[in-house]
Amino acid sequence: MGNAVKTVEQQADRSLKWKKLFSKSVSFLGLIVLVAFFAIATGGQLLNPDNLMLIFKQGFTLFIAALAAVFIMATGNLDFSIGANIGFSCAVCALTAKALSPVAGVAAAVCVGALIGAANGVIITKFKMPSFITCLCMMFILMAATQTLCSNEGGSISMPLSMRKWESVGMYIVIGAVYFAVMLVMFRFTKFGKYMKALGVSPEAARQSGVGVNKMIFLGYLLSGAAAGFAGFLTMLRVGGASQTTGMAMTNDVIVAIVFGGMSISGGATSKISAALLGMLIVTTLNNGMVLAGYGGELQQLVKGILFLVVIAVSTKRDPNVIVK
Amino acid sequence: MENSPLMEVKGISKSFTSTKALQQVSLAVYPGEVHGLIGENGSGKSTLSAIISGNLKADEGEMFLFGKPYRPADSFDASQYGVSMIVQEQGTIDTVSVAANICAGREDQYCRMGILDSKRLTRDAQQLLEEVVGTSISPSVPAGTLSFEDRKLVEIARAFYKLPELFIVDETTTALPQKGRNILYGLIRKLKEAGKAVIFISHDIDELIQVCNCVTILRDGRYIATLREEEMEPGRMKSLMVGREVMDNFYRSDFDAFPADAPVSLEVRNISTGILKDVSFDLHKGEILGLAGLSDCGIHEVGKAVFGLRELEAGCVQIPGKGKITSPHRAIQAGMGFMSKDRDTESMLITLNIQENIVLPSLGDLQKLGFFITPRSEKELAEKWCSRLSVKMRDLEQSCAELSGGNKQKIVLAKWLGNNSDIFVLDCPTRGIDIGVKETIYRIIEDLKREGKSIIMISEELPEVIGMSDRILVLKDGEIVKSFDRSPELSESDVIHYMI
Amino acid sequence: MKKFFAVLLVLAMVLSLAACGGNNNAPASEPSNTDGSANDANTPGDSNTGSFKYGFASWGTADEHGRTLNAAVGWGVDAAGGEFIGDAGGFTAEATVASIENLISAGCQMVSFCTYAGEASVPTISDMCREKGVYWTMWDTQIADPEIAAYIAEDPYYVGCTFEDNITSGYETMKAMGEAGATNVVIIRYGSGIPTCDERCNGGIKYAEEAGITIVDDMIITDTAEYKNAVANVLLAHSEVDGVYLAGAGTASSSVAEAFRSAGKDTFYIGAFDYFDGMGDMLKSGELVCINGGHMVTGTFSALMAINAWQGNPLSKDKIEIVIPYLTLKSYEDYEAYMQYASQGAAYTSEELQQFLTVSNPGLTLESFQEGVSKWSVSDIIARKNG
Repeated sequence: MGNAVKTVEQQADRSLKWKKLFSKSVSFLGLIVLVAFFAIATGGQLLNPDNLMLIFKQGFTLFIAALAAVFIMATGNLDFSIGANIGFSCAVCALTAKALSPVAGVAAAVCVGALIGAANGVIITKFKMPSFITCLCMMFILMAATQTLCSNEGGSISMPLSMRKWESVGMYIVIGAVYFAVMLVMFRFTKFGKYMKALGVSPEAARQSGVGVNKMIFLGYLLSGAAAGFAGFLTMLRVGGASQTTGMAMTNDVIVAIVFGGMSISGGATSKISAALLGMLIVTTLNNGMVLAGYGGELQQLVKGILFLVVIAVSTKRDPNVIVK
Repeated sequence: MENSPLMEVKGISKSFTSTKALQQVSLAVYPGEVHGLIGENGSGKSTLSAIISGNLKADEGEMFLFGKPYRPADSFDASQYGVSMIVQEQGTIDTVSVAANICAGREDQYCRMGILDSKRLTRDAQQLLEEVVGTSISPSVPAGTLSFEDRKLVEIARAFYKLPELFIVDETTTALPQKGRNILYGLIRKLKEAGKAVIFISHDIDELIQVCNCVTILRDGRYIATLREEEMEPGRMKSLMVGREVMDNFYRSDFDAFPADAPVSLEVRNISTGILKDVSFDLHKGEILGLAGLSDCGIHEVGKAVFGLRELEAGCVQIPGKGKITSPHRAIQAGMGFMSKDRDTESMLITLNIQENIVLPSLGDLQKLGFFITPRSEKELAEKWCSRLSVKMRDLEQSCAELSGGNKQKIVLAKWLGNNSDIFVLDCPTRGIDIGVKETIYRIIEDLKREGKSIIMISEELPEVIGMSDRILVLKDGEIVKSFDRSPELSESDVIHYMI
Repeated sequence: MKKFFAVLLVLAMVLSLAACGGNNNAPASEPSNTDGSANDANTPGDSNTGSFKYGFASWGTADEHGRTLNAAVGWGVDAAGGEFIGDAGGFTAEATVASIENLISAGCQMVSFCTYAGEASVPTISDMCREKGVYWTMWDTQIADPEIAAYIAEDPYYVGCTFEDNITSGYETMKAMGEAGATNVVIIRYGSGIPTCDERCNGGIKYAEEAGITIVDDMIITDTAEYKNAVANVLLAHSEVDGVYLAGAGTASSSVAEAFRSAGKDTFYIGAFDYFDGMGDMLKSGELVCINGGHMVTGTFSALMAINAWQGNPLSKDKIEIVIPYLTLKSYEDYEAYMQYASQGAAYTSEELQQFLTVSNPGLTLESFQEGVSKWSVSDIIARKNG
């Protein structure tokens, strides 16, 4: 009996290994399939080097915001104020750059973003308000503030023309690489990242292993906010200024991208920094590819919606109801 | 005993993907019989009871109730046939009232033209509660407001809505304090006298011997033997369960007196919080201090309070030379480790892997250059302690959810050992663990003691507390009422006397 | 393993389903000319012939205005023998920029967009088009910021813009309301700081001041669903209100009418911008006095303007500004004419539109172009179709 059991175990182990490998790389495989599909559907246009650069540029803001959002999402908390934060920081950046100096503008954007993040953090940890409500309210406040700032300037605030030259391929590559490296190290190889992951599994268990729950959650929102501020500056650079609706779509895009990238919104064990990168590539390639292939507006929405549902359905673990004692 | 069985199962097999939970198991239960079912974790006893009670469908085999084929569609269907079960975990719906829980599934009977007659439902529930469990639980409160024990009683009432022909008790008694247990024993006796049958599953060999007429032993999913009343003897049962000879005393074999001049490692001074009132004691180096008492008398609270998990209304906990313990973070820094009785939800991060769990409290120490933690250092730490404690695992990347209870406890211990803890607060360290593994854990605890570590062992299993501790503190209603020193003459009844 | 195939199959299924739907425009079988960077580097002044791709960035086709707008662009592009590619990015400035990027990358030789999300991105887009040699126009837009206007005046690829004369139309609308009998009017703006909206209101306010109509309240409401409550509240405080001037979101007219009726007023006058379903009935009953819409041709003519430039026949050396009139409907007959001639099919035939291209109409000048564009009223359309 012993031998028979052994081979069954070995077989189980092997199939388990494949299953694990697969579930880890679903997103990556998904990206490959997506790229292949649209490369064919657009007659190769998708893979044109200019177009590839375009994909990267269009997704850059999402890239910045999503990488930072991974930390707070790993704890199972969402930051619904990211988009509004980006919009407000963008407006502040433009105003400050015009009034003082371009560099001051950048600093202002990051500081404002960080302050917003800190405010979120304090309200959630000290005043024990649910994170969902806090971020949502912050979003409304920021949206109103952004609209006020912009209507004062006639609908949109343009950035000083001198900053037009700042945007370049080199800038994107350098900032992208450095930022990614920092986030990667922080998430995988420091206490901060590991604590966030632990909090997502069980705050009480993390607490009993010595994790300062409140402190970590605060830092998570602070990081998300600061990154949003920086993203606000980058948006301003790309678009040419701030407008009333800047950043509005970003909150949803961040969450969708991270889920597409293979991480669950409840965080915990599935959290990985690669989810932000992969997700950003998937979402942006999808958007770009659909336009190149000539899909109409509603079709684009439909496809995105269906894919999102599929991803959630496949990635959510369902309780197997096994009782083996 | 009559000749024809009340319930008979033949050739039952069940697999879960690659795991064979049951292989060709056959068994017969006769009217008026209390039939025990025992086996280690993985023996298949819960799978079998789940199949009989309609919660699972067997892959192979047949079942007969009163000689007629019995194939329940689900657990409600089974209860219509007269087969009902209560389990160890929570089986009530917290947000709904007690009465609704009891009559769950039968609401149609209380509906007239689509409108629920809640008065009648409540009245029936009340009647049932009084008759069956004889308590004054209010039927209209939400089940979630009741204590764990009372919720179990509600489940029992539900199982007895219709007097069952076959009543299955799956490890329920381990989680119940004495009062609840007595109620259950009473019901079992009533069923026996009425010619019904009971299948009784428990880890506690002594309890089985006391309650059952006969006992069936399963091992690794197979039927091993059925022992009649006369043959039921602990050593024999243990051997059949494990498949080899098991030593008789697997707690400590020494009765060395604890040195009176041992240095103090932890001082608990007049702490009051929640149910605890003015609790004080000292813990010494190389001491195993046992805390005994009824489940809600505060022994678990002491563990949490000592580790800084509770805000103290009065008093303090301190380590000589290291200051007060005011938070888990401080406690860990001062060299303490805590194993909660809710292991899966509090002591470990169940969906993370073995390595991640073990290194978590020690991350600060592993940092290089003030922030960077190399994967290699994590791996080394985890490997060291996994091999020391002989953890049965596939590899360090295995998810902790896949480990058996005993191995999970080993991981928790590894975690604190890896952090060089000196003081271990262990709450129910061997609950729900196989006999074989229990032994290992006791040896580990003994090793810790010999190395000079201090251990607080909180447990509701009296034999364990008595067998392992150098000193036992008995708590009742949040206060320490008695202290016993280790002695071969100390018996359970001595301790129980102070517990109630 | 099962999961892998499941995901793969679903992905393939969804995307092929989508592909079937969208492949009308898919250049899957298109050779060359699909190279993103080599838009054959149009040098300004070059004359180009043959087929072309015209890119149009808007918020989408889900609503009526968006649908007719995109369709109207198609009339012009088809008449000139080109291919229409639309990108529905959304309402934000980033979306507009991304749309233009995508359109250029898809191989468009000309692109067009509107500044509904703000003017700040105009210089960015100008730089982009300049770099890639793509001609561009703006529809429904007039630049207010002098710095930006100066910036784009330097761009040889910027052809010009089309815009509605909001001030005049606003004036005329309030006039229609006044002549019908309105004396106390409430103005509702659909957003704050939006030039189009503000200009329409300024025009209306000007007439009101001249004719002695009282503006009882001037509100900003961004959510169309809130209009009814807002009007009801005003009526409670000011029962003398007998008119509502909607600077946009014409679709709220019916709920505004309901608010009046609930307050017991049966005689009231509504003037609005933006067509909606049901406007015919309201015109018939007289509740709706005047509605401005039909400005989807702003897309048509911004296209024709750009095509002329690309084909080497710019309408002017300077930057062009073409005024687009609204199709103002003041009666049920007007409405019927609109529905018959302009709503579903093309309001212009291909031949009629080709008259706006120098290659078909050598005598075309900027003035005659504008003159032709201005013949956009209900009577003009009826004359054209019947004459």
